[in-house]
Amino acid sequence: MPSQPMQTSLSMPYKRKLAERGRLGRLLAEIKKNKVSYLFLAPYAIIFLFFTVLPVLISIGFSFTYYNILEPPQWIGWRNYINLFLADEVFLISIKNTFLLAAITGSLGYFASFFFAWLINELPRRIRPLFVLVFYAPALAGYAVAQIWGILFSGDAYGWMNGFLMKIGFIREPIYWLTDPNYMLPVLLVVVLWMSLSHGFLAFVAGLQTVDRSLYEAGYTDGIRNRWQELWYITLPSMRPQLMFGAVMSITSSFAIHDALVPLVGFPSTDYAAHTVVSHLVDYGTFRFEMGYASAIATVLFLVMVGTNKIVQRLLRKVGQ
Amino acid sequence: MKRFLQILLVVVFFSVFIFPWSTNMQLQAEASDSPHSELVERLEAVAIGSRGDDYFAYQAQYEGFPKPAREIKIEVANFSRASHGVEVLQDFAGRPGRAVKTSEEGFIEWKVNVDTPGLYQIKIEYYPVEGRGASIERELWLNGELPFFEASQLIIKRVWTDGGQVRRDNRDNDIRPGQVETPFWRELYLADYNTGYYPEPFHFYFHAGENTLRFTAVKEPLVIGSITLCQKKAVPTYDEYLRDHLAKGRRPVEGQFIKVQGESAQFRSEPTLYAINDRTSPTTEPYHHSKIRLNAIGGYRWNLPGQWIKWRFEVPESGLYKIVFKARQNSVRGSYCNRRLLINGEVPFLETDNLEFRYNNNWNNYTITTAEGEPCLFYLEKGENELHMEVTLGRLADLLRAVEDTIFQLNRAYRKILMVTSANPDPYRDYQLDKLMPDVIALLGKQGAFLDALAAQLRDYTGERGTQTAILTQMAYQLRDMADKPYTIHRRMNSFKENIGALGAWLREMKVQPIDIDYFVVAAPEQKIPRADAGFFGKMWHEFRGMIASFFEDYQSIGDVHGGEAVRVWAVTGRDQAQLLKQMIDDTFTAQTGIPVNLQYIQQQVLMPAVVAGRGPDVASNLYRNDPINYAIRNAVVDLTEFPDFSGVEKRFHPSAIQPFRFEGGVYALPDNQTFPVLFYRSDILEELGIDVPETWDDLYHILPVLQKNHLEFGIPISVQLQADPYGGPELAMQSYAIFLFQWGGELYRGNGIASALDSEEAIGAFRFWTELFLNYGLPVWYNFANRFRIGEMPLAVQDYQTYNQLIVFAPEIRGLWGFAPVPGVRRPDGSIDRSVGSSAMASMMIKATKDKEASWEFLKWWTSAETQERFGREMETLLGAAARHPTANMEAVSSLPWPLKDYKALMDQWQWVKGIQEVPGGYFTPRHITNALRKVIYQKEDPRETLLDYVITINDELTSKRLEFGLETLEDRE
Repeated sequence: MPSQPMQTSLSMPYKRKLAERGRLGRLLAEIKKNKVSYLFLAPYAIIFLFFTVLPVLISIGFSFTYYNILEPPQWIGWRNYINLFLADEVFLISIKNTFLLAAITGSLGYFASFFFAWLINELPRRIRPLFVLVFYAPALAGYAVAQIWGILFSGDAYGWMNGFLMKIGFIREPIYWLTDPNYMLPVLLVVVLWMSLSHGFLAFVAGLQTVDRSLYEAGYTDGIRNRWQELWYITLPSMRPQLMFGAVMSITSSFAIHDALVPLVGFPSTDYAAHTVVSHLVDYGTFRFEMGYASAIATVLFLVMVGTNKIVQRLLRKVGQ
Repeated sequence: MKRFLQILLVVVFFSVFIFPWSTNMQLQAEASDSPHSELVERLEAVAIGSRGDDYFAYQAQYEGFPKPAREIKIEVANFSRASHGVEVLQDFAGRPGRAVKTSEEGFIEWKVNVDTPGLYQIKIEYYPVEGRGASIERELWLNGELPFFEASQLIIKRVWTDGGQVRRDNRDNDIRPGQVETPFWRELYLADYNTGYYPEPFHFYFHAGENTLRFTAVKEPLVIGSITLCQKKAVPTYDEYLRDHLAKGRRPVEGQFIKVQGESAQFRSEPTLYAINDRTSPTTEPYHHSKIRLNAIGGYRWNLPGQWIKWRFEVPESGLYKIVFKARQNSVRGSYCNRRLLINGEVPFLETDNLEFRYNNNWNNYTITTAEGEPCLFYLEKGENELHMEVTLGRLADLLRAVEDTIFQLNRAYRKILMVTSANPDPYRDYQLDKLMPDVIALLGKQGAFLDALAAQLRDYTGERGTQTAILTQMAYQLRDMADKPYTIHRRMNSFKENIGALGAWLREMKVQPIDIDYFVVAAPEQKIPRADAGFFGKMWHEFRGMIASFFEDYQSIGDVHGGEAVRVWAVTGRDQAQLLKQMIDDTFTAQTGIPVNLQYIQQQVLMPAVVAGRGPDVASNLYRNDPINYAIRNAVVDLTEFPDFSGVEKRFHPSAIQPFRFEGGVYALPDNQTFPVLFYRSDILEELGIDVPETWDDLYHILPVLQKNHLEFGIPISVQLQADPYGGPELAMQSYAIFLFQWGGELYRGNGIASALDSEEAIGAFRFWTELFLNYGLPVWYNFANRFRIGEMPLAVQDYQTYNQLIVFAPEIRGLWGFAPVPGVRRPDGSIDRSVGSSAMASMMIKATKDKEASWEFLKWWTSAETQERFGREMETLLGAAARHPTANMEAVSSLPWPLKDYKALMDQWQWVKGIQEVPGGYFTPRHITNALRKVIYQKEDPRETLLDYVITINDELTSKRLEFGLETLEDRE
């Protein structure tokens, strides 16, 4: 074939040129070739870089410094981390609380919201939106709803829960639900679980709707025997992206829980009994002006979140197998 | 009763029927006296015992007594007795003859000879001389006693006007001129200008022969020119009025059209009734879609009975005119707001005694019409005329008075029942309330029937069943049901209490009667009145322009914005406060010193990032107490002691106010305001129980059993409402502990904050006493003070003195039945009582990055000076009402704020005992762990001493670590 040598002879200088330029050069050339795609990517990439990646990096950098916000930071190496893990009892309390709350909201809340989404999906088309709204309400109402719980569990003898328990003769003195360390966590677990219902809920509802109906028919002919098999082998694998999204949302929000707790138990809570990692971070960052230390806490939290995400991703890959 | 209902129904149906649902509304005037007498009948029918000492009871007592048509004039200079401070003036302020000046305290008494005994109204001629700027208040004693309760709260209004022309700032926004007094001689019938429940002037009974009449001062000085006992002239009906004028040959004018802008009003009873800006509609005059134009008057500030506005306008031709208001009543949904209209000082005819402005969300033309819908005609002489509009409660007055009385009765009934059942009754026990207190049970039933009747009446009045009547019927149902089944009462106490509270809230809402007025038109009857609303497209264009403008307008800065060298001041405050502050800066500070100032109002959390980024202000104001030291130890604020005249400035404050800003020999801020706890008490309940306000904690121990036997409570605040203020808990607990700590002779810190001093014997003793109050004496840990105080469940409580303002405004049903005193103390060996308390303060500080320290210091000095603080305090109050009384830290300024003298004295008694709370590095651990220690002792019943000592170790660790951080001497260095 006459064309073949022609081609090699032509490509030789080009290859040499590339080799001369090195890897960076090749990358640039690639970019130049696909510049339209990069242009489309640019707005998001720039914003993501400057408002997400950069702050995270800066924060990691600050975690190795003493930084009191108003004066320039000073490098102190690993000291913040050493203090955090070896000298800070409150941090250990907050880790315990965070994992407890995250385990409940992350797992129970996740399954519960999937379960409700699945149930609602079975409802007739007309009333479905109504139920979607009802279950999504906690997310819409946000922290304002926490106030209702505050009244319900008020330490006042006239609080709803106290009033009710006293009325039926169960207790004689009011229980200080939200300031007594013995009652604080159980109450918070209920509240947080209720609020976590909505995290992945909407995604699940959407996911269930997009499952290809023909897959079910194919499944029936292939010998699916009951709803559970249908769920496990068809429904769940088809909505893996939504499951993933729901998981990420619920992990980040359950590890970052703090704002919703403040109007309930106050800040700081009695004996730090409801302190979470983020509470600890806020305490150091805004009350004690120790930004370096707060950054170290944030870094640890960041790593824990990334790690948990990895584990959950791996678990989700097992769905349908 | 049925007949009455039928009549009312017909009347209301008729009036509703002729209200056209257009933007042209008619101001239907109801003759105000007709429902009154029938209501009295109805009240008697259900025989409700009222408060007993009010004017209502007084009227009943003197029902049918003659009202002699005589005039008895009292020569005021010939008073028989007076406390000193009363001056006789000759030819005062342009009025010939003699007058007396009475000061803000003391009394003056006259002897009056009456030949025909009977009920007289009292007319006084007065001159509101300058005082503290509040309304004047007097008690009237007749023959050595207060004739009725309302006579102890006779309010006499001042006269206010603009202190100059409306100015434009350099961004083209109108700036409202300050409000100044323009006193002149006025005539007034003594009437109820406090609650507005009695639209007619009071009648006082004078017996034959010599009577003594005494004025006792409550607030403010007053010059009295004359006092006359007489009867107010009867007002004709419109038919009589018109017939009279037509008979005199007066005819409707032709072609005249006079528009008077609302904001041009010359005189106002309140300094709050200034011109306002309304940008909700493009039809307001003058109009701008984004700039501030003062184009209306009134608003939610013109809402309480007795507040009036007066306009003067020229009429080119004598004759009969119609009057149309372009106004808006968009706050009392489904009901009316009422006004009394006076032309040239007189109610022209009965119908204008009570004009009813019906609810509508938009601006409307309200025409004063007859029942047939014909515009009413007013005779105006050529030349200057005067139109005066005054808030009244109209036909609601009796109804609201009755509800207030009901609330008072129900509170009392609640308390009586509570005294038997306690706040936590045993649900399974029959307390036999019907045998124990048949009168109370009967009262509940009667009040229930009565409230039903009121609800029916209200339904007739508003013409609809709705939210307005719901609470009345709900309460009525509960009351009747409780009376029917007394054995269920103790299980329903909670909802009973909540319903009483809701009824109180409803009453407060119904009492406010706000109206905005853009302009009014005085015109010939045939003249067309321009449309009041803008129409759909006009509105849309208006909103669209406003939205576009919002991209260019700087709504954060206030007033003139200067370039370059101006001092930048940031205040953590609201827009109203900032506007007032800026106005004061422009007309006083910049005018006197030539230093330009830019003011912005910010959120607290903005300051720190701005300072870090080097874009912060020169001066930051109204910051939390602990901010200055936090900034100071990080080198971000200026030490004010470096200014040579600092020591002079320091003397303006009580030493306790400046204490939190002291650190290592420097002072890093000046206090804006300072608050501290006092002891609130319900005088009526204490009297009922026969106990005195406790002077010492020992006294309290004697009182507590009496209170608790009656299931009443004493309150010491240690818990905040977490939803409202989640960060406030520790601070409040520390303030509460500080009372005992300081009185026991303890302190918070040793050696300038090197270590906590809470391990001293005094501190531990105080802590033990404090926690025992809750543990052994069962003081409530959580409570809502305002609610329990109103209802009387907690007749004694320690509370921040600012709560005073809240109670004044929000608890009208207990007015006059409560007061405050210094907190109980500890008797010292020399017999004096130590009443020490802690205090909290807000601060103004100077940021280190300031370019011009001298100018910033000038500003700080000006801002904390007595004149500035006094003016700010007064104007804040005029702006936002008595609930916004400025708790200034400047001791001289406090004396000029409109406190009643009795309360001012109590405040000062407490203030001399106030101690500052020291702020040190790491100091945030102190309140935090005091709270933890307190809760551990109360909840887990731990030993107070051990618990406190444990937490002291934690506090000391933090103090030491913070001191290491800032290179300060620590405990270890000392050892």
